[in-house]
Parts: sequence; C-alpha cells; structure tokens
Amino acid sequence: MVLLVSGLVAGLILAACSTVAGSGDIDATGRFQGVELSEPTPKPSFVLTDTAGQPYDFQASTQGKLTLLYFGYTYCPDICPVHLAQITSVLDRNPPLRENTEVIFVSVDPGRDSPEVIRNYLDGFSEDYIGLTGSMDELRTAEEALGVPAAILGDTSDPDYLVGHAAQVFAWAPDGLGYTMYPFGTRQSEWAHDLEVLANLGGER
Amino acid sequence: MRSTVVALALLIAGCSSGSPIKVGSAYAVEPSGPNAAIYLDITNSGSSGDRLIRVMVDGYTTMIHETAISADGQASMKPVDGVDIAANSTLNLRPGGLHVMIMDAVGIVEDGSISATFEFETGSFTERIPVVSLDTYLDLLESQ
Ligand SMILES: [Cu+2]
Repeated sequence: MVLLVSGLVAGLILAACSTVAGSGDIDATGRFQGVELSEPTPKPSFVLTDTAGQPYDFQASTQGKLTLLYFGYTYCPDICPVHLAQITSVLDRNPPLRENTEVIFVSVDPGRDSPEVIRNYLDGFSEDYIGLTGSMDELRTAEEALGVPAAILGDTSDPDYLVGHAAQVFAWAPDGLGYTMYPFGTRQSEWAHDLEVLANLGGER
Repeated sequence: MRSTVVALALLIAGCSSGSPIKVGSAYAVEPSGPNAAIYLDITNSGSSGDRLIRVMVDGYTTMIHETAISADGQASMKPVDGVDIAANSTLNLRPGGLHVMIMDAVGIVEDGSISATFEFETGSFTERIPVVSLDTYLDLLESQ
C-alpha cells in the first residue's frame, strides 16, 4: 500500500514537471518553482478603485480564481512590463487557465496613472486584466494588507519623477490561499509551471 | 524565426569602429507605457578605464537609470551620472540593473530601429539598434 501510494505520488510529480521545458532548477521536493511562503496565507481584504471608476473589493471579486497581483506604475519601463508580459505569454497559450485567472495591476502612482492611463496600459497586455488605484492612504492600506513597504514617490514637481514599489508578484490559488510569490527575475518556464499547479489547488468555495 | 533575425541584427550592431570600446547586443524594447528602455553590453578591451556619459536618441530625452531591489523587495530606479567601465571588462546593462530610459517614447515601435549615440569620456559613436517586441524581449531574457 505504501509502495502504491509513493508510486502514485511519484507519478503525480512527474506529471507536474512534464510541462516544463528546459528549466534546470526544478526542486524535486517542492511543488513550486516560485518562492514558497513559510505557510499558506489567506487572501487579504482591501478595496481600491478599478479603471471604470468603481470600487473593487479585492477579496470578494477574486473569489475562487487563481489571482495574481502586482504593484507598479505605467512609467516604469524596466521591471513592470516583464512580469506582465511573462504572465500574459503563459496565459495566452492556455485558454482554460486564462479563463480562471484574474490578473490585477495596482498602480501606486495615482498622480500620473489615471484610470484611463492604466486601462490603456493594461489593454496592451489584455483587456481582461484589472487595473486598480486609489488615494495614497487607500494604497497604503492595500500595501499593509500585503505586508509590503509603502511605495516611495520621488519629487512629484518633476514630471519624470520615479517611484519605488514592491517588485514581486503575489499569487493566490483558487482556494483563496497564497503559497508563493514571484520576485523579479522569475523565468517564464517557472511561471508556466506554477500557474498550472496553483490553478489546481481548490475550486469554487 | 523572428528571434533569429533579431539575433543577427544584434550581432551586426556589435561591430563598430577600431576603438577599444564596443557596444554589443544593444536593443530597445517597445514601450508598454510612456517610456522605453534600452539594454546593451559594453566591452572595454583597452588598458585604461572609460566612462559612458550618456546615450542620446534623436528627438527623445534619455536618462541612464539604475534599478535596485532592496532586501524588503522594494524596486526603485534612480538616475546615474555615468557608468564606469574598467579596463578589460564588460558591463551589462540588463533588466533589473542598468538601463537607458527613453522618456515619452511615442513612435518607438517594435520591429523598427533607432539611431543611438553612445557618448564615452574618450569619444562617441552612433549605431542603429533594433526595437524588439515584448515577446522577443522575453525570449532574450530567457536566453540570458
Ligand atoms: Cu528607468
């Protein structure tokens, strides 16, 4: 019986890894290739404003979905587009996965990123992506809920001011729990692997 | 196929004058927002150090930026005055590190090219560099 079970587990692990091409650093003991959290973490609750100007209750609106969240700003040409492009590339190749995934971009630069600017930016990736922003206080509440330091805005009297913001993408499986996060430098193959694994953790509740 | 074409263009961009300073693998990425970024490698095969002072793109304001990610995961860009390239060394300007930012990069579109002037302490030269799509950019990142 024990043998049978371990054989089954090995089969599952093999099946999970077979979709990954060319990734050299598969951790044979872990389910994930992203950075694993010390324990599964419930999805936080906060309300921001979406690109239609409507309040968006993060926890309620994403229930039962694989949820990815990233803080950034549209003026950032370096790190922000990489995360979004990688996620988009994986989802574009997997329509069923895409169907049950909510991608959320929170702009921490409300001074320049109006709802229209955010919508326009996200439409370059997908019209389905959700763009959020809010007052500095509201953003701080969301940042605190996620345990990241508050964004730091440069001298806003300079039109090209720069913004410091959390660089990692947060993820929650459909079961409402976060297991992993994805720092800048995450590889496409790691996204492809983990999104599939996360999508299969729990369904509608 | 598209990646092959880009790789070829990148190689050609790498062959410049007889100076000990060579710029290689330079490319701009089509902007997703208002600004675009240029990435490149600079090799100094000379016996003395040099310094990249600026990279100019006709019709646009540019800045050299350094992105740093702090221990608590905060990413921030800051402008730098120039970048030293020691004798016999290669400096990589890569995502998450150094880049040349093109402000208000309207008109910089994928599969085009731009003319960039690289100004070093010891002299300057101009090269055409390709503008790659986000998809090609991801392929380039994967191959690094
Ligand atoms: Cu920059």
